[in-house]
Amino acid sequence: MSHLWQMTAAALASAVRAREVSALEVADAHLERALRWNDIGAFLHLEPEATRRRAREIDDQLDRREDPGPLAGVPVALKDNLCTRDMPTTCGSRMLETFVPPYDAHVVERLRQAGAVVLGKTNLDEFAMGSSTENTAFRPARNPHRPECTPGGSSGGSAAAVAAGLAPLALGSDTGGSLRQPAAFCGVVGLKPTYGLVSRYGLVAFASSLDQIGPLARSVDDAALLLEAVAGHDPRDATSSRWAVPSLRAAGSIEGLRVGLPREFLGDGLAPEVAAAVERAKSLLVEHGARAVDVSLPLTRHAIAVYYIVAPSEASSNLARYDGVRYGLRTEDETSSVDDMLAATRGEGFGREVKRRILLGTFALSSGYYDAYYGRAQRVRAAMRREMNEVFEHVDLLLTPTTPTAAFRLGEKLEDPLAMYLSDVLTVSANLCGVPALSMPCGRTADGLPIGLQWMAPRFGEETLFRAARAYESLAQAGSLWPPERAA
Amino acid sequence: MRATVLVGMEVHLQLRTQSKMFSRCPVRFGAPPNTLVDPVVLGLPGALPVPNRDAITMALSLATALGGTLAEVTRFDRKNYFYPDLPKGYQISQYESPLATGGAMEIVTPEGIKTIRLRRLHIEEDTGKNLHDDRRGLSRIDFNRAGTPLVEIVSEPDIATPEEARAYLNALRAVVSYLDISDANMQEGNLRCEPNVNLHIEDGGEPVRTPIVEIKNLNSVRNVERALRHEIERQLAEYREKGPAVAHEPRSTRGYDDDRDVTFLMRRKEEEHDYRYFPDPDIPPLTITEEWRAEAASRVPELPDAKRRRFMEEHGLGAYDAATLCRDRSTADYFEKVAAAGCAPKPAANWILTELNRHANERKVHVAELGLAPARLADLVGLVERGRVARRAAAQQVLPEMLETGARPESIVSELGLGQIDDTDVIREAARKAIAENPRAVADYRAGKKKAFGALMGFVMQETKGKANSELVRSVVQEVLEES
Repeated sequence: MSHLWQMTAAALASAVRAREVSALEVADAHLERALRWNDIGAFLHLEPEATRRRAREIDDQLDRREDPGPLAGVPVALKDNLCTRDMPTTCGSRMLETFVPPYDAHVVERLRQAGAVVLGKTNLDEFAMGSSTENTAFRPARNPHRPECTPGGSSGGSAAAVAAGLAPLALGSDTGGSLRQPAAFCGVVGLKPTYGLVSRYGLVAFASSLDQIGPLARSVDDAALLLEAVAGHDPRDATSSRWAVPSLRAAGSIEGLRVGLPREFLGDGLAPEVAAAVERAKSLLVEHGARAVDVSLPLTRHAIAVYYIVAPSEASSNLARYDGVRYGLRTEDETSSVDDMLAATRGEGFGREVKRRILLGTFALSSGYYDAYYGRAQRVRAAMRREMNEVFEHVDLLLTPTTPTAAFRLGEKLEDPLAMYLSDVLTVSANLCGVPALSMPCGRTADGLPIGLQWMAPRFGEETLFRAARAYESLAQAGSLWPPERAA
Repeated sequence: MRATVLVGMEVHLQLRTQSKMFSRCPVRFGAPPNTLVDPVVLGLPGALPVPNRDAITMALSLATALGGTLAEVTRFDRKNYFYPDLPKGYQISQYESPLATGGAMEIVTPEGIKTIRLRRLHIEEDTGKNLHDDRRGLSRIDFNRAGTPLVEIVSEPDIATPEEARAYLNALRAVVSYLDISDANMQEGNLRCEPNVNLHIEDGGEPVRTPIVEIKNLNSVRNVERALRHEIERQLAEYREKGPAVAHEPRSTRGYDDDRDVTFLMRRKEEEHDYRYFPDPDIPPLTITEEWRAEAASRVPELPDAKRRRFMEEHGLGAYDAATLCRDRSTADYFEKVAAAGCAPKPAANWILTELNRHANERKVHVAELGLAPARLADLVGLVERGRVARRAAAQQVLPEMLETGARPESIVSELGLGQIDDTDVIREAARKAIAENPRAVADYRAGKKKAFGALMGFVMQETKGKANSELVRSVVQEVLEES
């Protein structure tokens, strides 16, 4: 039998429900593993006692012949921007270093209802702003495949935890690629669902119109299992959709599936190894009955510009609540007025990247600049949505690389924000258009770093998306890519 | 020199909803500090606003009542600024697409009915309250009020005098009271008013416009009137001092100091915030469907002006009585119930506006809250009209007893022995006594002093303990005087 930490979530849940293994043993195996891999900085908080207590509850339920739910005893790691009643929720920021929310995020409630065991809170770029999990008040996360490389960001901790077997499942959030890019860099599956599919209640907002919570897992089925547990309407989120989530784990054929290859996502700027991996994936799919269709999304060239106006604008307003008045950090300096207290608190509490984005957003929304920046960006965004909808009249799915390159080194882009921003070039379109997009492994570079393949579907096209991803996974035998094992 | 006053009104009205504008947290007045809060109200990380449908329906009803044009699609915007009582660092309001535009209010002025045009009506959320403890140098914040639904009603600058401003506020309060959507009480702060005022001065050359001043800190209708009176004088004085150059001064916000009856400068336009309004991405645009409009319209009752006209036509009331009855909806409804119980409308109105009003004022309640069933009042008025009890006895003895015990007027009349005296022999005897004992009055009467007749009648009434039928007293006294 394989190690518990190597098993899929689905296998763990059925073993726990069948009493082949206790939830406590499952939790202990993952806690032990998390400590052994502590140096990759995947977790910001582990509370082993709370985790074990919760696992025992699941075992007690089974003793009473109650069904704990589809995720019975499955450990789940949570990005530290998801509110948890019993653990800190820091967002990787000095501002919220000691903040423990008085409530659980919707997804956390849903996980508990499904029988999952929250393992801990994972590392991220401060307030989810970044692409490398280096913009943090605490410690950076590292890529389990090569510790000198980044796991990506901002959900870098969640992706690294799943990749190294510290957790079979994790939740992350994706505003411009924050979940898919780390999934690609760490060799796991990550989905940004259709906007509105998963309630954002309790997700600390970065850019409200783009943020979406999604699953990270080592297989397509496990990602579907986690999505099914957390998706669905929530009356506490006005943007939550009423769409009934279908079962996403049904097998199906890709015979006749029209797969669009948008030329703007496949042009210059791609690392040759990445381009070759996507080309191989396409050939394999075509070999098995899919139809490849060349398509074009010309407005993609504006995507980064639009994103870096819309996201910071919303962020500048969303982060205004951190003022030192009600919770979180308050400066200890003697200040002479409320305004001074507020300015000093925000000066101390936020890191450089967060300040940079607040400034960008404040500028873009200022009177006299609004029309030229925010207003215009929204108009281009609306045009991008129309263009995306039109493409999906001709194809069922789009296939692209997730990132132009494999994982870069820690510090490599830290001093060059623009270069960092450009690493989102292939992922931001899905957020701007509200469509679902999934990243999955499709081979490695010569250096042994994972390469990510991205599927995009029309809004609420998750069923087709999962069918295609599952088919590719089995054809290519492209399961999760395990990092090199280390000695105990 | 000729100066025209232009006043526009911004009124904020707290809606009387069960829960807050964007969360299910309850709304109440007077709860202990920070007990009516939740993650949404406090702006905790991750909390999200969900619009309160009932509040929007109330606002739609008000907009419908005021004749506004309802938006087909309305949107919420964020108004960004930092202040300790503002939990999220922004207020959710409406900027580009308010709930309604246009509409009008009619007010009564000495020159007749005047129309004040409305500019817009929109929804927003209230802030918390800063409580300063100067003695200890502390500021505390109570967030109970934060997130309470507000409607803002902005008028065009059609108001020309402080008295018209008062009339506007009273008319608006009457409409709101009819819709039953707010307590609309300025002292309690559930109606707040910020007038904008400036003058157009014609003084020979080019007309001069004084800079617009917005006045804050007004906690009563009376203070609105006083503050405007002072501010108009101040702007005139400023014009006299600076001449046409005054037009180049910036717009400003002034506070009103109740104790000294003056306005004082709070800030100038250039010191104001850039609110960086943008559509709230947490709240999708709202479509106001046909059904929703119909639901809002169905909540609009007959409004004060229409009711007043109907009372005059249907019940034959005079303008003053009709208008006074209609100021409060429950009183107007009470009147109609009394009339429906078979009471003649004019005496019914008279009894309500005099006797019942007096009791209601003493108890600080509305007439309808006195606990007197409309049918009982109709009974009492009927007894008086049919001559079964004298009006004075009915008002001074029967009515208080009815309010006290809830007993039927007939039984009170018979129990207290108040039945009216219609026996001419009894009255004649009292009249003779009156003439015998008041020779002076009799002499005066004969000398042509008609007033003396009243004194004689009063004596008779006193003799009969107020129970004599006053019409009979009149004729009998006349008769006895002529005999003697």
